[in-house]
Amino acid sequence: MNLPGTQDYLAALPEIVVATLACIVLLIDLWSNDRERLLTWLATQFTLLVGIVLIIVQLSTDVTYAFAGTYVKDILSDVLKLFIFIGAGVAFLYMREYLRIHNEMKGEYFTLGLFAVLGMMVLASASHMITLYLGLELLSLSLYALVAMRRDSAQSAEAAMKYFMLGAIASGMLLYGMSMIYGATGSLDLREVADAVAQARSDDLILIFGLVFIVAGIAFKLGAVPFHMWAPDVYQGAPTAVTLFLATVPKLAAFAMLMRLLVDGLGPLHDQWQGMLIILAVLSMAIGNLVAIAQENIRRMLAYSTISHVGFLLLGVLSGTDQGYAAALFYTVVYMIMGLGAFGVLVMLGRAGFEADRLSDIKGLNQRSPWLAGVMLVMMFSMAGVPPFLGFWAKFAVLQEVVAVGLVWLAVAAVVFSIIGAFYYLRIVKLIYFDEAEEQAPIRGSSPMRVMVSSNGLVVLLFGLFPAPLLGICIAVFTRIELVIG
Amino acid sequence: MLLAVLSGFILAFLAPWLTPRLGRAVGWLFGLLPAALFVWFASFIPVVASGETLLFSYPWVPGLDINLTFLLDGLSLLFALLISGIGTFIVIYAGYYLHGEAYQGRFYLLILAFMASMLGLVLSSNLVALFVFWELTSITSYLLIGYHHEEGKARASALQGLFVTVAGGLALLAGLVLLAVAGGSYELSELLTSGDVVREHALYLPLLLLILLGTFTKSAQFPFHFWLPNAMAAPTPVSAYLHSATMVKAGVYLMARLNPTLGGTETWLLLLGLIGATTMLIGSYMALRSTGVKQVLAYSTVMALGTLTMLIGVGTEKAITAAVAFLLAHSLYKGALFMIAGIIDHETGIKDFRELGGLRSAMPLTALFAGIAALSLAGIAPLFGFVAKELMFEAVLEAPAIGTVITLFAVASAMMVVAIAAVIGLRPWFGPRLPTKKTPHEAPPSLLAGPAVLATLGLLFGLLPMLPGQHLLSAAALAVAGEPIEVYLSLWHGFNLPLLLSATSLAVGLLLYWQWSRVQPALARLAAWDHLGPERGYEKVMASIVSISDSHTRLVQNGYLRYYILTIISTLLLLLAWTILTRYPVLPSPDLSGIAPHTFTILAITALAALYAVTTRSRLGAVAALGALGFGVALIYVLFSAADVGITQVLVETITVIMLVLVLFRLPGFLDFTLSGSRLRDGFIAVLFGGTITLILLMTTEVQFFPPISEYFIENSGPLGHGRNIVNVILVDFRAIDTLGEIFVLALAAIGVYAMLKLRAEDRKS
Repeated sequence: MNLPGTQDYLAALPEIVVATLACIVLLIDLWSNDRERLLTWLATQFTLLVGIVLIIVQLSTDVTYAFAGTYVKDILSDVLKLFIFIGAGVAFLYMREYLRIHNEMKGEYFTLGLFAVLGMMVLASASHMITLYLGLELLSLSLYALVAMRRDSAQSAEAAMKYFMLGAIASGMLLYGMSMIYGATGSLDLREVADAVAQARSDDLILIFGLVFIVAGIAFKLGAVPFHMWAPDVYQGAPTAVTLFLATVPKLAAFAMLMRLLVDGLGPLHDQWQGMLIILAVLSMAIGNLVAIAQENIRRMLAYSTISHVGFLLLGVLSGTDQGYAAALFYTVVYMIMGLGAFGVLVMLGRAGFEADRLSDIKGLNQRSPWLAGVMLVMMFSMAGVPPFLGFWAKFAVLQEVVAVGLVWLAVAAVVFSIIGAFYYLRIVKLIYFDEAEEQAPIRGSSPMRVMVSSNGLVVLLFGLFPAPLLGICIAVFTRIELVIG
Repeated sequence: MLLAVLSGFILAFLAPWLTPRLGRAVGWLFGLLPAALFVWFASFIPVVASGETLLFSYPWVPGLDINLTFLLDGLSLLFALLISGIGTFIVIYAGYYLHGEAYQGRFYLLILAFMASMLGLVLSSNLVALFVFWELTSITSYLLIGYHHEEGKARASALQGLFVTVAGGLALLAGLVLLAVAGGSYELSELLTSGDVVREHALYLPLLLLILLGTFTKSAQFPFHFWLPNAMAAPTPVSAYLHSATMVKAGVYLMARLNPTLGGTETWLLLLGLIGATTMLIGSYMALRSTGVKQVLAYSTVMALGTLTMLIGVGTEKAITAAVAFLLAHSLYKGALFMIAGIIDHETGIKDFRELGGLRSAMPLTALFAGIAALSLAGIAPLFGFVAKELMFEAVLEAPAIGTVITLFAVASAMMVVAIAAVIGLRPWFGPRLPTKKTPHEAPPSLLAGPAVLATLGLLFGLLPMLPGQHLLSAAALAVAGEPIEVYLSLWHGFNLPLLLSATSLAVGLLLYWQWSRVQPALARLAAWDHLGPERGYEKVMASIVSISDSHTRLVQNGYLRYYILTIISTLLLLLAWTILTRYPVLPSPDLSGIAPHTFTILAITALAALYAVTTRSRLGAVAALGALGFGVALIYVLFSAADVGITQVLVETITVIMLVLVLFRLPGFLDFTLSGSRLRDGFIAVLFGGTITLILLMTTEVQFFPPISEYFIENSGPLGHGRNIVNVILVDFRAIDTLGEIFVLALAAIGVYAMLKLRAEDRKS
């Protein structure tokens, strides 16, 4: 048996460093007396920054397998991790603002967040089912704890409880599926699984059963209908600071899981899982868009909006082509950016002891703060898929790929549901611009927060006008074109 | 070319900063940009009139093969000239009209961005770029309305208009993607020549319907015309004009543009012809019924849009000539009239025709230009509107298949239009002077410039119809038809049927106007029937979506964890059952002969324990039963010679039972809330799920697995691990690091427990 060597450690250097630094942040937080937790927060952001640097230094299109094939460093994992770091960095900034406004500053928000990031990194680099499961559980456990952070709130506790219970069931299904795949292929290594699956069609039976369980598990993590029910309750029950993190960045990890398991591992079974993903996608788009309309709570509404976006993301994956995967990755990244922006605005609207998350709270926002209203407008139009904002390109890229593989009816259905979905995004625009403000309290917010929310809006607008760079990265990941950064 | 389109956006983003710094001159200075664009576009007239099509391409999104390509032919040039030309006057006009308003800067931002978007829309050759500009016009023009909205009703229905256009836009997107699939390109320049391929394609009907859904909603065609009235709530007649007369033309533009690719089929003729004619009739009826200045003008625009759609649908040479002529005529007089409406509002503060009268003496020039523009609207010689209307009558008379119907519609509509024109052109200016809120004065030059030029052009083109016809309109008609058309415009066509129809409609129209004070209220009373109209349909659809959404929330997303689990299990069950049923109709028949009878006894006890656990009403009983179940499983392990696993199971089971019992003491008393119905349902699902899993297990046992890993350990534990107890060798040798990890985790957990206990003890002390 070979012991891991330098090559292995080098390939996993970002994970190793982030894990180490996360532990150090934990210690810093333990010994720091600062009420504002500035040091903890800075150390957290520093960790992410180190991660970004490490990724960029090692960025290449080479595929390196490490630790006896349980771990892979390829361009997909690198790019995913980069986006995870960036998304998490923005999320932590919004988080800090929220905690400051509500006087709930605790270092654990950031340390748990860092461990969640670590879990996502492991997920993104998994080339073995056990590695994948390890990353998933590290991510999930951190999230469960984050949701339950507000211990005195019955709502938060209930949300965490539901999330945990359902998450445990989903993990169980995933494991059961993995064990079946193991039974059929004799391996948990995703490369070997792929080889075995491509050759052995006789063991179809167990493979398909395993596939069903695995798809169910993934669907839960993604929040696709009908495994979505935790999402609205958790989005609403958790503190907004947690919701904004949970609703955005981990979707990248879920996408990684989808790619690693279904494409890297079970790719030869594409014909089998395509049908399942179609069902999930159509249901997600239908339920997500339809039900969002009745929500009075913006966070709940955004939960359903997420569900519908997941449906779109699945469309890209189910096309089964490299361009389709690229479109799905692009969609996920774009969704993360838009989600962060929308929640960022919500954070800014709140004040101590008051979550601004009802529809009536954003009425007449244009009168209170035209700039913030503008950012929210950009986010809503973008989520509705209206050009020239970023969300349009995401929808367009996915639709194009779905049509390209001949699923025209699916593309038309997607558009129909988007039309229904446009209604509730536009309703927010209408509330902001056409209604009288009920709240008159001035909108404050620290200057880093204002800068970040504004840049978030600008990114959606500017990348909407010039989508080529972002889209180019996503396409390069799957077409293995040499990436040029800088 | 790129600069021409983008310069509007650049100036737009500078506008909020520049506006306060330029003071009164702002309108004239900003007006220089569209004026320069107008001149620049005009310089293309000779080239384009010779039938050439110019293409300009710039890379944009290479990843999706999308370039920013601009196409300049007769149609886009006509639109570009209209947009930049009328845009110039609008910008100048707004400089005076909005002077001193706090939002003037933002107004300029939006209006310039809107103008640039319109330009981009009509010039784009790439469908995606076209769509981007298309939606930009929706957004900017909606934000224009967003300012200064004092009318409550308008606020309430602002969402409706936005939703209808954005929804239509998304449908259009789908249609354009399909069109690109059918035609094999995203470039209009290529699609325009591949009409035959597209029309024969299997996707023709869906893509046509989707695209028309987009254009009909944008251009306020029946049955989507209902959203347009809300646009009249716009702060100024200027933005009302932009919204209800310019933006809506985008739909007409796209239909005209795609005519060579999609047109010429029966579906095209019927859909566009009939819907256009209906819209035309409804528009003029609604205009005659209304009294608000902006309402009347906007509804008469609906009439014009309907007319254009109808003519494009008819698609004969005459019809296309009529369409481009009508488009030009309408843009000229409607621009003038909207600006005059603004002048009336600005000078008198009155927005209703019933309260206006006798303003001729106070504002003679305005009255003059209003009169000229209204004559053109009515289609009276020698105005250009007359030329266009004659052509329209000729076209509908010759129209294939639906000629009779649309001629009737056209004549009826023309009668009402004459009356409307009279209401606009005569009523505010003649008759007794009615009291006004402000003392009216003649409008200043910046307000009057637009109406003066546009109305005069209407007259000039009427007298010399070949002036626009020879170059511009013939090139535009060529672009719409996709093949050369002989455009011959003249004022006098001789005594013929169209002239007779014109004369009849003029006479009836004047009669209608004479009795306007009676006709209008009578028609207004018909408003009671509006609830049968499409707006009601929209509301019903929306209401039903909301109620579906509501009931879903109540039924499924009800907050009860057990229902969530139920849903997840049921879905999984469905997927599994579906797999089994569709693939493996033969159920497994496992061989049970090798299993000893006492094993069955243990199994039976285990099953009974499980049954008791779910049926009992005592918590303690349930826990005990679960314990029994666990021990049963442990026994089975032992029986199949896995003693160590069995011991582990016994230990875990014991600890679990003890812990559960301890926890139970802290819970409130057991109350049974479940109904027998739901218990039955849960039981059913549980049995089904358990059964399916059993079935899967039975199926998997039939499959030949890979050689078990235990062989390796059995062979090697002696030679490699130097031990005979294989389990021990595995734990301390083969998997030594795993064991170390486990010990580490246990130690960590123990420290955690200790810390918690200590904390608790300290809590008690303090």
